[in-house]
Amino acid sequence: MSQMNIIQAINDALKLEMRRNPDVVVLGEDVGKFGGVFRATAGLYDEFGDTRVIDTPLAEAGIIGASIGMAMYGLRPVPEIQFADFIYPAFDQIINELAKLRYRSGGEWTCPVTIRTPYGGGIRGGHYHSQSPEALFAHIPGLKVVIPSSPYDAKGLLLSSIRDDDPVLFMEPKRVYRAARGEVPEGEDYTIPLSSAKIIREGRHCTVLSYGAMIHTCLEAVPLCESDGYDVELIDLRTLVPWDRDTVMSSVRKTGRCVVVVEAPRTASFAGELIAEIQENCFLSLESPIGRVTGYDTPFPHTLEHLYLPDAERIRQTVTNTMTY
Amino acid sequence: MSRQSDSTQPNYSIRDAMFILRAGDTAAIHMTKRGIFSFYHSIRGKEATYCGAAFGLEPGDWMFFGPQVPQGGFLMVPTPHSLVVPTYPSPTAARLVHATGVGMAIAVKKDSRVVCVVFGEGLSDSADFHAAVNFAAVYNTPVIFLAVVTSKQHDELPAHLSHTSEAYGVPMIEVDGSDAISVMKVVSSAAQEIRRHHGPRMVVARIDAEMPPDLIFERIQQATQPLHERTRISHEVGTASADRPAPSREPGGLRGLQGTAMPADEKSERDGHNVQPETIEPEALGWEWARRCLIPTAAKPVSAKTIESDTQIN
Repeated sequence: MSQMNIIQAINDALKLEMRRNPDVVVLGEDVGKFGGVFRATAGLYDEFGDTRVIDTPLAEAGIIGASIGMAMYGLRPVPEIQFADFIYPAFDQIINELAKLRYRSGGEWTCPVTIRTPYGGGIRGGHYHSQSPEALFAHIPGLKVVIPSSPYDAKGLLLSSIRDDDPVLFMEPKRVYRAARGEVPEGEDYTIPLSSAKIIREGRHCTVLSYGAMIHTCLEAVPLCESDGYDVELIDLRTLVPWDRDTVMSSVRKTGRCVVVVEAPRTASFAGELIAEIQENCFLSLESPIGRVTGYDTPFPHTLEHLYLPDAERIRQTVTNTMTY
Repeated sequence: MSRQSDSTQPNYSIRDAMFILRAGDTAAIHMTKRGIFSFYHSIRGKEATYCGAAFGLEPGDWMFFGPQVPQGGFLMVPTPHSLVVPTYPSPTAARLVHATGVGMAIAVKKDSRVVCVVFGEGLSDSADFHAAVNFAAVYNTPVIFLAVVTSKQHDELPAHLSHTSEAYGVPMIEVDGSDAISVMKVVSSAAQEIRRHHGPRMVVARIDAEMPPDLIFERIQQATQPLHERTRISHEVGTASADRPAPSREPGGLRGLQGTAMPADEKSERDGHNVQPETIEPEALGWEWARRCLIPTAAKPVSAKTIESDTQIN
């Protein structure tokens, strides 16, 4: 075991899988010689060459479309979209082609493509480098959506995603790319099953449900809630589609209260889907309405991002409201 | 994982293949009118382009072929040998990028296969077209972009494509899309060049849009008659020419080159593809023929039995 941040863990996973499986190729803008704008693909070009680590033109639809073709031929492409904010030109390729290929071909073809993309705010990147569009893709049948929050999970989930026969959107919380550190088995092959949530902290009073960078904000809120006398159970969803209903429902039935935390804009965020499912399945167990902490329904603000992003105090206040309803 | 065309099928001539494709197309149109299919993009009048391209490729090559029946049928181009034909073709320009991706994978695997993607010239305005050709040129991928041009302005639109090709550094070849043998030769030649030197090629197959589809098919019939019974059909290879004579509208009339003597070696080659000169009408082929190119693929497959009992097309 060695200490890694999320970038190092992702890099380790890519190296490991490319060594293990010659069909795995990486492509994207600046992923080759430069090693990626966040250095996630550093060293891959030197080890695997330009046929497996491919610098592409600046054309996201081309990157994803070409990845689909490569997957059809038998490769396992791992395209990188440099920022999730840049993914929209590839929307048609992802939604109409990548996610539908298995269905449209009656199961005759599969499309094992894992799209890596950093998402989320907190780096003062303005609205072209800060958005959280996960709900747009969670809405698309045929596409899995995975968001890790720690280095250990990032590596294990990325390996599972690449080995999955269906397309996966692997969204990386860039705000904690380097801030989140932890023990990771270097060079060791381990996987974390998709669709398995993780109970980060057990508690008795209120379930707090989140994913990605917001997990770290929730961790900041936990001691504040404790000081208010509330014992919070924190769950990291890890996979948004398909999400781990059993773990979540069991927790909410136990605590009777729930708060969902996401950084995306409030309207039609993935929090809404989680809340709807929970109230449908745990209605008789709920002691109060489910709380929601989100970003605001505005374009991502550059200078006001510290006010836009949920913080520990907002989470604490929402937990208090839920507990005292 | 991939759909291979039926390797046990008879060794068709191009002429047979065009008739089979016409039969399948006719059947699909009938089924659309009877409400069995919600819609279908007919390829009537383009049989020579599709079949010529398929015959110009080699076993193991890939061909992205457009027509799709949304309820789960797929109109498969009859091929003389085992091609890999994706059975889910996207009706949009998205499939052009997929073809480029297959070409990139072929390069990664160091295989010697070639991908041919057929598309209507209208798709060349789309962003996906430019992404596909740009990627193909940047990575020297073994892709043949076969554009079917049905414009009335014979010089204008191919010029647009030729400028695009030149800008991306992709050599362009123009051919009469109603001449199956010419299409076959051009595609075969492009594929051989690609196998030797790699790099994509653009083939522009022009079809006269004002000519009724049945007249085009009559022309196809004439083109596949034994050579001693007909005159030479158009066989132009090169870039668009501003001084090309106006097209003839007569059945069998050919753009400016009627009556030109055919070189002996070409005559011999064409005769070799005319192994069954007897007349075969699509209507006489019946479902057994149509079924060969209508392949059920998706969640609600269309079985030949269902089609037969519901429609009585024969």
